Order: sequence, then C-alpha cells, then structure tokens
Amino acid sequence: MKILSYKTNSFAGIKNRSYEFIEGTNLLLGPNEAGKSTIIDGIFHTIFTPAKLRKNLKKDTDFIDKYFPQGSDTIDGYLVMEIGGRRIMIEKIWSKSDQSRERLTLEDGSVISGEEAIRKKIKDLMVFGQATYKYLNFSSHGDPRDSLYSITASGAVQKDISAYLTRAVMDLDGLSLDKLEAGIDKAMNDLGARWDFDRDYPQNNRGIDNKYKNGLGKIISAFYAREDLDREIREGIKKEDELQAISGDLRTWEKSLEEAKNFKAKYEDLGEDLRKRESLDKDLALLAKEEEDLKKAIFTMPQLEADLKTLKRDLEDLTKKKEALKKRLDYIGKRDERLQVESVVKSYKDLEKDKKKIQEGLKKLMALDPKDFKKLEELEKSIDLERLRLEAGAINLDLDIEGDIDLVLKDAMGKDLDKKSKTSYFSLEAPGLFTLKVGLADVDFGEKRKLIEEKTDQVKKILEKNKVQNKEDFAEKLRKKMNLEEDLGVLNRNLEMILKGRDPKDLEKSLEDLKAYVEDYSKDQTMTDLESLQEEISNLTKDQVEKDYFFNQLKEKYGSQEDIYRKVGEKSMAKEKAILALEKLAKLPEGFKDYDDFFNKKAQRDKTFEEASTRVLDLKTAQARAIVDLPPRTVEEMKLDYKDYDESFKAYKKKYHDLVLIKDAFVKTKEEMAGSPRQSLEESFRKYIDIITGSSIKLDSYKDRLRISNQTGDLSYIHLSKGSKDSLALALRLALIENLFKGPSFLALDDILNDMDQERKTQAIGLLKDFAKTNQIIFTSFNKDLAEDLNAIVIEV
Amino acid sequence: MLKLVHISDLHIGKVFDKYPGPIKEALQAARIGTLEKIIDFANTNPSSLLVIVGDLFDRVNIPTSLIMETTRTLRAYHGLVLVLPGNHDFSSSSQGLWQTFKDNSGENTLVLDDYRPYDLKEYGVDAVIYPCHCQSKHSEENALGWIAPGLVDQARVNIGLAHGALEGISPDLQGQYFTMEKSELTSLPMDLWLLGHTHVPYPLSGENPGERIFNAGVHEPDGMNYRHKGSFFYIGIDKEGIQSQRIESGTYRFEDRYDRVEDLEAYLKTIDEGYENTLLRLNLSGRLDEDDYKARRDMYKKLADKVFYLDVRDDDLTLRLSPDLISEKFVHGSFPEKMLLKLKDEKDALQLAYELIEESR
Repeated sequence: MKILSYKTNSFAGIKNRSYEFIEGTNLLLGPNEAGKSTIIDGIFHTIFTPAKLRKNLKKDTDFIDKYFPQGSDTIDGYLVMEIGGRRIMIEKIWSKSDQSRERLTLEDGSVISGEEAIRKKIKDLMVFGQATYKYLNFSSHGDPRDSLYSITASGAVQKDISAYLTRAVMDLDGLSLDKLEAGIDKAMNDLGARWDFDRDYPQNNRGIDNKYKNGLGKIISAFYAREDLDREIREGIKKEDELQAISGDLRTWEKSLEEAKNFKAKYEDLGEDLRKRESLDKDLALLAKEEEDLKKAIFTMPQLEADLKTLKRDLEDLTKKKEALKKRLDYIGKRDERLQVESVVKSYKDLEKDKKKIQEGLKKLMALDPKDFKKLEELEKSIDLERLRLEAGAINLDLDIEGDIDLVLKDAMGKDLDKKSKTSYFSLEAPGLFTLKVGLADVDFGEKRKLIEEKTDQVKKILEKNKVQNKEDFAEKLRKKMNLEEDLGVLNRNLEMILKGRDPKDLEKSLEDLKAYVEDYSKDQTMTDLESLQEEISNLTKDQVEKDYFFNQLKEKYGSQEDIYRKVGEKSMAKEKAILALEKLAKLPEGFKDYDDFFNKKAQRDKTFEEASTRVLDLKTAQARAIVDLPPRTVEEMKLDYKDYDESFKAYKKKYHDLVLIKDAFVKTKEEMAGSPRQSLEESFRKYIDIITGSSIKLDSYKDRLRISNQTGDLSYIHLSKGSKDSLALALRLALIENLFKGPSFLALDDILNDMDQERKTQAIGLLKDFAKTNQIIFTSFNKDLAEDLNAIVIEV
Repeated sequence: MLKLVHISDLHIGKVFDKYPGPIKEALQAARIGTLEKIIDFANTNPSSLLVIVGDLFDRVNIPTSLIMETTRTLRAYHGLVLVLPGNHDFSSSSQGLWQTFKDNSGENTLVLDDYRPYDLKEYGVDAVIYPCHCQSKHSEENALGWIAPGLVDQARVNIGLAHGALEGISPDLQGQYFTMEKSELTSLPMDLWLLGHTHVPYPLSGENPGERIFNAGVHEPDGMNYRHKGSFFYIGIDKEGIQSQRIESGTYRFEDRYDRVEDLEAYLKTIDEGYENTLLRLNLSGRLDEDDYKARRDMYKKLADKVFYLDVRDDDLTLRLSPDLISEKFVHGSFPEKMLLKLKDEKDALQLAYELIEESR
C-alpha cells in the first residue's frame, strides 16, 4: 500500500497544491509552518473523514476550526493510492454548507459515491480500520513513545521483552490498560459499593433499619431511597387507614350521640308519668283479670256441677256393661271346657276300637315261636352244607344204552339222573338184575344221605308246630306279630296321655254336665270390648276427680254465686278509678312495645349518650392527631415517585451486571493477549533496536525483570535520553507495522530525528533506509541534508 | 339562565417532590395561580356560582397558610363559591382543614358538608344543590344514597354535586373511590350533575347537547399521566336545557413521549418550539451514530433551555456499534478491539465498555 499523489485546492493553510510520491522515502521539505504536517493531515482526512460535516458535533466543528481557512466555505482533497497493486482515487470536498461530496474511483473506472458505501469500500481495501492507520502509520511519533513510557511508569512487572511488547500492543490506541481497569473498577465500585450481589441486599444485612452512612454505591443508595419511600408509603397508607378508621368511628359515634341527644330531648320528661302509668296499667290488668275470673266462675261453677252429675251417671252405666262382659267371659270358659272334654272322649273311644282290632290279630299269631324260627334257620343251613359236601367231587357220566333195557339211573339222594350228567355219585339199577353204585371214594354217601334226611324231618316238624309253610312264611308271620305288638304299645301310651289319669266314666259325666254351653262367642272381641270399656271408665273417673277438685276450689275461693256477683261489682269500680287516673298521665309514645321497652331504650340511650360524649371527644383528639401525623404528600403522589425510584434501582443493577461482563471481557482479553506468541514482533523489535542503537542498548531478562542496559550498565527507560526513547519507540513502531501488514506499507514521520544525537541519528537513518527498501516513507523536515542521508526524493513544500 | 363555572381536583398543596426546587415551586404555585385565572374568567363573564366539586386540597393536612391563601383567592370571586369536600380533602368532623377553611372564608363561600338540599334562594340564586361529599379517602359506596327522589321539588333547578369515580369513564379497578354509575345519576331527578375526582374531563369534547352529567377534570395538569391541558366547564342551565363550554385553563402541560430515534438532531428539531410551559419526558430508544451519540447531552442541554422542564430517559438509546465500527475505530489486534468484540452480543455492556475505553484514552 502506498500513496501515489495528493492534491488540494484548499486545505488549512495550503492552496492549489499537488504532490506525487514515489516508493521508498519522500522528504517533504520546507521551513516551519510551511504546511508539511498539513499535507500529512490532508492525506489522512481525504482517506478517512467523511465529506458531510455536522455543526453540532464537536469533532466536526474542531475539523472546521482547524482546516477551513477564514471565510472559506469548502476545502478538498484528492488522493491516488495503490493498494494491493491496484490504484484507487479518493475525492473529498468538505463544505460548511450543503456542498459536501465525496467519490471513490476504482482502477476499473467504477465509481462509488455516498459516505457509507465509500467508508465500507475503503475499509475492505485497506483491511484495517482508521484507528490502526492513525496510530501506526500517521501518528505523531509521540504515541508509541508515550505508550512505552506508560508501561514503564506504571510500575507493572514486565518479566521479559515479550511481556513488554504485549503491554505495548495492549496499550496501543492511546489506551492505558491500567486506566481502563481502574475505570471499570471505579464504575463497579461507584455502583456496587456495599451491595451484596449474591443476596441482592446490602452487605452484612444492613437494610434501611441499619443503614450504611458512608461509602455507598449507587445501587445501595437507590435501594435505600426506594425502601425509604416504600416505608413512607406504607406508613402513609397506615396513617391514612388509621385516619379513615378514626373518622369512620367518629362519624358513627357522632351519629349515636346525635340520636341519643334527640331521644333525650324528646322523652326525658315522660319518665315519671310513664312510671305511674306502668303501675296503674299493671293494677288495671290485675283488676281486669280478677273480674274476668269472677265472671268466668259465675258460669263455670254450675256447669261443673252439671258435668259431675253426667259423669256419675255415665260411670254407672259403664260399670254395668263391664259386669256383663265379665259374665260372658265365664260362659266362654265353660264352652271351651266342654269342647275339650268332648274331644278327649271321642279320641278315647277311637283308640279303644283300634286296640281291639290289634288284639284279635295277635291272637291268630300266638303259636309262632321265635326260637323255632332260629332253629329252623340253623337246620336249613346245615342241610345245605351237607349237600354241598356231597356235590364237592364229580365224575362225568355218559351212559349209552343199546337195546331195550330198563335201567334206572339215580343220584346219591335217590333222585333220577340224566344219562349224561356230571355227579359225585350215581346208582344204576337194572331192576331185578343189578344195581351199580358208583361214588367218590372219600365220601360216605349213605351216611350223608341219612343225616340230610334226619334234619329235613326236623324241619318239617318245626313248620308243622308253628303252622307255617316254609321258612319265608314263618319269617313273614313272625314280623307281622311283632308289628301288632308294637302298635298295641303305642295305642296304650296314647290312651294314657289323653286321659291323664282320669277315668273315662268321669269324663263322660262332665260332658253331660257341660252340654248346655254351645253359643259361639268370640273371646278376643269380648276381651277388647272389656279393655276399651275399662279405659273409658278410667278417663271419666279422672275427669270426675279433676272437675270435682276444680269445683271445690272455686267454691272455696269465691263462695256462693251471690258472693261472686258482689265481688264483680267491686272490681269494676276499682277499674274505673284507675282509668280515670290514667287519663291524666302522658301516654307511651309510638314505636315502643311497652314500658320496659321504653325504659330499656331510654337507659340504653342514656348510656350511649354518656359513652358517645366521651368517645366523640377522644376521637376528635385522635383525628386531629392523625391528621397532623399524615405524611406531607399523598400516598398516590409517593406511589408515582416509587416507580421512578424502582426503575433507577433496577437500571443501576443492570449497569453493574454489564460492568461484570465488561470486567470479564477485560480479564479474558488481557489473559488472551498475555498468552499470545510475540516471537515475530520480538524479533523485529530486537532487530530494529540493534540497528538503531548500533547494539549499544540491550534488552534482556535479569532477575525476573526486563533489563535495559548499555555498556555502562543497567538503564531505566525513564532515565533514557529523549533520543534513546525515540529510538526505542521508532523500533517498536516499525516492528508493529512490519508484523501487522505483512507486506509493503507506508509510514508518515514527522521529523523524528531532531532530538537524537548524531550517532543515534545516523543509526535511525540507517534503520529508515532499511525500512524504505520495502515500504514507503513520507518524512517531513526542514533539513534538506536529510534527503541525501535518507536517500529520499525531495518534495518542496 | 343560571350561569356557573364548574371546577374540581385543584389539589392545592400537592408537593411535586420529585422535581427540582424551582420547578416544584412553580407547579405548586400554579395550583392557585390557575384558580386565580379561572376566577378572573368567572368575574368577567356572567356567572353566579363557582362550583368546586371535591379535592380543592390535595390532602387533609394542608398548612394553614396555604388554606388562607386559598380562601383569599376565592374571596375575589363576585358570585357564590360552593365547595364540596372530595376524597382527598374529605370532610372530617368539625375541625381541622375545613374548620380553618370556614373560619377564613368570605361570606361568598359555602362548604357543602351536610347531606341535605341547599336552597340557594337566600343567596339570590334560584337553584337547589344536592351535595354528595366524601367523608373518607376511600369508600366502596358512593355518597348518593341520601337523596330521596321525594325530597326534590321538580319545579326548581336541581343540581347534584358528587365526588367519585364514574363507571366507564374513570379507572377505579378496586371500586374504592365512591364509584357511581351513570344510570344511578340519571335515575335521580336532577337537572344537572356536576362531578369531580376523575382528572380527565367529561365530556372531553364537543358541545354535547342534552348532556346532564359533567366531570370537571383538573384545572391544571398535575403529572405525566395527564396529557391534556387543564380545563373547566362554563355552564348555563334553566328548566329548558343546558349549555356547556369546556375552557382550557392550565398553565403547564405534562408530556410523556416514547419515541424511537435514528437521527437525534432531526428528532429534537421537531420539539424545538412550543414547549416553554411543558414538563417534557422523553423516553428515547434507538441506535445513534457515534457523532450523534457523543453530542446527545449537548443537544439535550440546548433543548432544555427551550422546555420548562426536561427529563430525558435514554437508557435505550444506544450507540450504533458493530464489529466493523469497532475495527474501524481501534488498531487491529489491539486490546480495546479484542475486548469490545467479546461484548458484541451484549448491547448495553458493549456500549458501556466503549464509553469506558473512550474515557481511558
């Protein structure tokens, strides 16, 4: 990047000037006040200052004051630059009126107009912002020098040259890091002093009851102000409420007092009359009551006498009815007895008939002997056993008879056998010819046959004795006999139960005696009738007793009818006398139920009057005090103010929060920059220091401190000569440009060699010549000898 | 025709504590100053009554000197002054504020603190007044209850006075301010209802033929929540009808503006004139160019000279800061550039950090 030409018709003190610049070093040569620095300013402003100026902006009015010649309305600047190998032309006309305009022409001939578009395009082309150029390329040499000074003067420990450079970079822009940090801390302290942000409350719980007095931040001050006002509002509301309550009570009591006063005024004098009237009223009421009782007695006593007679008669009738019902109950008893005896006799007769029938049946079965039946069972069992024995072994008989022979084939018991049989014994007899007996050898068929025949005979005898056909018949008849005997037992027991030891003949005689009781009266109905009658009798009796008592009472109290009539007359006269007395007294006013009501209300009102008088007095005093106690402005007005207080409090907290973010960004940026590698910058810086000081000043680390030293020993930056400081500053500035732009750049230098001694100047010139090999330098000076030293072209100003 | 001037809510004694001394004093003085102007009007135009429908005073603990200054001012009226205690200066027994007021009032002043008809015949005015004054600061019930229609002689001109919120017209969300419904008022046989309490007048505009209900509104604005000019009603009434006119009376005005601004200079030019008696609160938001932003306080200062009282709240008015602008303003790779870019998403913090950096240069 380099400046190719600059032209102006008017800019500050220079008019109609046009300059061409070359690569390498350009020496703007002229005496003091010739406008050398103005040209540098003109170049800078042509690039960076918008054409439109505002009179209300200090920056612009300063610009006008500094660069507009007296009476001039416009100034201008035309600049041709090369950036990245491409040419651009910037044209600016600044005007106090509305004649301002600006234009940017690119290499391809395209034109950009408008402040914002031009600013943006220049930024794009030049990569860095205005400030970068201002401080590095255009600045007066004092800035980097001051920067280095402030680092040293701050007393901060710079352990090595890298840290030193880091601070140098940090403090570029004319910013003092320490001042910024102090500024942030101060702003935080101004807001947050005495405020506990974790608890969002004053530190150490120092609320409005225990306020901090000194060292308050804005947050706590705003909090106290808001809380004080809030308390004032609450107090105000409380006091207004108290006043409202007192006023309400006062109105109520004043009303009560008024009513009590009115009552008093209206009814005060009635009291005595009403007392007398009350007494007379009572007498009158008593007399009236007595008179009424007497009059009642005149009618009541004869009526009672008549009633008592009727009652007596009715009771006699009812007693007779009661006796009749009792007799009917006796009759019903006899009738029920007759029905019972009749039933017993009938049952007895029926049972006797059944008994006779059973006895006849038993008579027919008299011969049956149960022992014989048992014996018969044993015999038949024995016969069956023997027969089984006879038939236990067996042979097959197959008799085949040829011819006409009369043969008789029988078994062991002499019964006929088939010609083909299975038997243990058989006999074959050819009558008259032979008899063949064949049997099993171990059985005595003859003896067995004999035994069976004997037992069969005994069976027959038993059957004959008991007159039965066989064993089954015997068993059947024996069971029948037992059943009849059992039935007879049951009958006998039933008879005993019915008779209950009575003689049937006696029963029949009783029946004869009771046969007249045949009417079918209901026992239940008779009982109900009797109970009802008894109740009626009781009621009448009670009534009779009461009336009798009442009658006797009246008689005792009033005496005879004549006596009563006389007493009625007396009471009537007494009444008239009382009424006459009443007419002279004031009446009970309307609205009162009775004298009690009047006197109660009066007493109540008297009490109210006393109490209300006291209360009204007290409440008036309290009200006056409450009014005096009211805050000097209304709650409504304070509430509106509270909103503002609250907003301030919240705004301060928000601002503090922003400051926390800022402090964080500050710390992080500092850490980040402190940790950035500065090797390349350090190398450049060392290189330029070496060149500019001819290696006479060394920067190294000693005992953890940056050490500046020369041949005579350690040096302090503060104590370096101005020339040495300028040398270091120049070295820093060149190192920064070299590191930042990474390519050819330009540097405007306002004669920096003046304060250097010859040796230092020679070295600085060498340095600049070296720098100018790859960059453009515009150097201002009144010393034309420098042109040769710097190998510069001379531009006369 | 009976002519009267209807005012209310003068709030004499209001403190205006949040304003600086001279402003506060001017606002306090205007409460009575504007009353004097209204009395001048009433004296130079035909009128028999000056009716003050509540809140003549801001509270019940008013300094005696101020009460006396008020009575002195009211004495200047040529007609009859009717004063109804409102909820701020409620009638509290026969002592304190109203006793002092009565003790110092002229014969032309009548405090209407009884619930009874006031026949003004004895004062030479053919009308009957039905006052519904307040006996407390807050009440869920209005004070109309005492007027029985049977009490009213409909052949006379009957005028009801009541202090309290009018439903549908004034906000009384909790119903604590003697709220009245229009139907309640119209159901009573009054020819005219004169109300107080709501600071905005009713009707606000127009001639309103047939209207029988009037709410005076404040004679002099008293805060940022009141944006109109102060005013009063000048009313003529007979049995034939009512004529009304709302006449502006306020000395000062309050204006609470919320504006979004991009060009501060151009914006401030729009409020360059006519604000000599205005308490102007500007709630500004928007983003400004650095030049404008830096110059804003100077601009406010210039404006303040032309405005009675200026309160600018510009916390939301910020510098138009962008990463581009930051890079433009600071050396590339420098501390402030790096630090500010870290805060680019925190609008307020970025702004503040920028200002701190500028202060540190």
